Amino acid sequence: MTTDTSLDLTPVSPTPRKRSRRTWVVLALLVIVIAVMLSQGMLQSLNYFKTVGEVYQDRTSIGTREVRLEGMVVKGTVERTSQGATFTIRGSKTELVTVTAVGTPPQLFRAGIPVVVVGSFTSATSYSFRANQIMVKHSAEYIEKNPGRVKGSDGTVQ
Amino acid sequence: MKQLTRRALGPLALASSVATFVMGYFITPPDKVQGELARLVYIHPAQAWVALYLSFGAATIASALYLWPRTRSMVADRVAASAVEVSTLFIGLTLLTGSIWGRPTWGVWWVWDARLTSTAVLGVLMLGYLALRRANDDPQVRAKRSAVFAILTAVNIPIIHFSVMWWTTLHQGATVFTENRHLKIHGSMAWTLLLSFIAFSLDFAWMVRARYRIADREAGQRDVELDAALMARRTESAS
Repeated sequence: MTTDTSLDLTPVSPTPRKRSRRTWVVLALLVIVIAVMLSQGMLQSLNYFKTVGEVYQDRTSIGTREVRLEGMVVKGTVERTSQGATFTIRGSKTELVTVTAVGTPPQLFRAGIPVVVVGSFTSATSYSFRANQIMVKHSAEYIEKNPGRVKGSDGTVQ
Repeated sequence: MKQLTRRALGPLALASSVATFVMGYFITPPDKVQGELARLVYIHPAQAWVALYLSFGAATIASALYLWPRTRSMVADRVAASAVEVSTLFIGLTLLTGSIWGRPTWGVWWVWDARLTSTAVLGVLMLGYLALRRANDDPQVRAKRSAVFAILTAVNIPIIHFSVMWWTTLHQGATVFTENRHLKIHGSMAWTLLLSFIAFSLDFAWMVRARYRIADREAGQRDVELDAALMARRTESAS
């Protein structure tokens, strides 16, 4: 900083306190609004998908509107079709949804992994799903390709 | 000793980065599901770590130190500015490598899930911070405003961190900082992951130091120029 005496050092009146108080009020209001939204579960819409289990608990509210649905691809159900693939996805228990997907599945797509399918149920009460997109939701687990050397956290190799 | 650590930072950052590259590219095995794609785990998480926690954490602490009653230290302000600038680069790299990783694994370049969206919002806020620093030339006013802005932006950091636990996201959950403290990566892959975190952290430290030096000299130059301009005006009025 310069210490030159020719600088203008005449006193200026400070900014009124009122303005900064208003800032705090606005900030506090924002915090309250966000806290209320969080506590009331109003940020549920930030969920990217519904799980198959959630769908089974509340099937009626979904109807046939477009949703993203997550489930584990059941082994032995994957069939490639001319348009894409058909397979079954399972929730965390035994809930099942059959999926008819149109379009090329991603390269990692296979049985035994979790996927997110985008589309809608074929009717308001059915559990068969028509998907126009498949996304692979890969796990956060890293296991060497050569099995036996390293095992997963639950002692199994996927 | 201090001189030694100063001199060692650059070579250490370079050596650890090279070691991460060799380990990640040649030595570690491919992953069971992702194959060779899993090698991105030695780049992307470490970049996100630097962008979110290390550099933005440093910027937040420095901003708080600046605002701490009667501190008003320009050193803290310059550290905050340098850290945010480097953080912006790293958040850009995080989004870029994440997108490159997402296309072959998820099947999409981008999704608006909670993790990706909150990270993108942070990137925009950081650009806002850098724009704010250019909005006013008075060093004290600029420092105060940007410090307040940085602290407000820091609210987003825990949101990004917990987004994969609070909401369902396409982005995977934690591998290292898991809820039940159970590591989901093992052997040479785990060690290389750790190495990548060290390497990118050192890179960050080296870059912030370089940026800080530039900011320091710029501020010095500013004073020199101001003095010169004042002197010019004074000689003008005298003549």
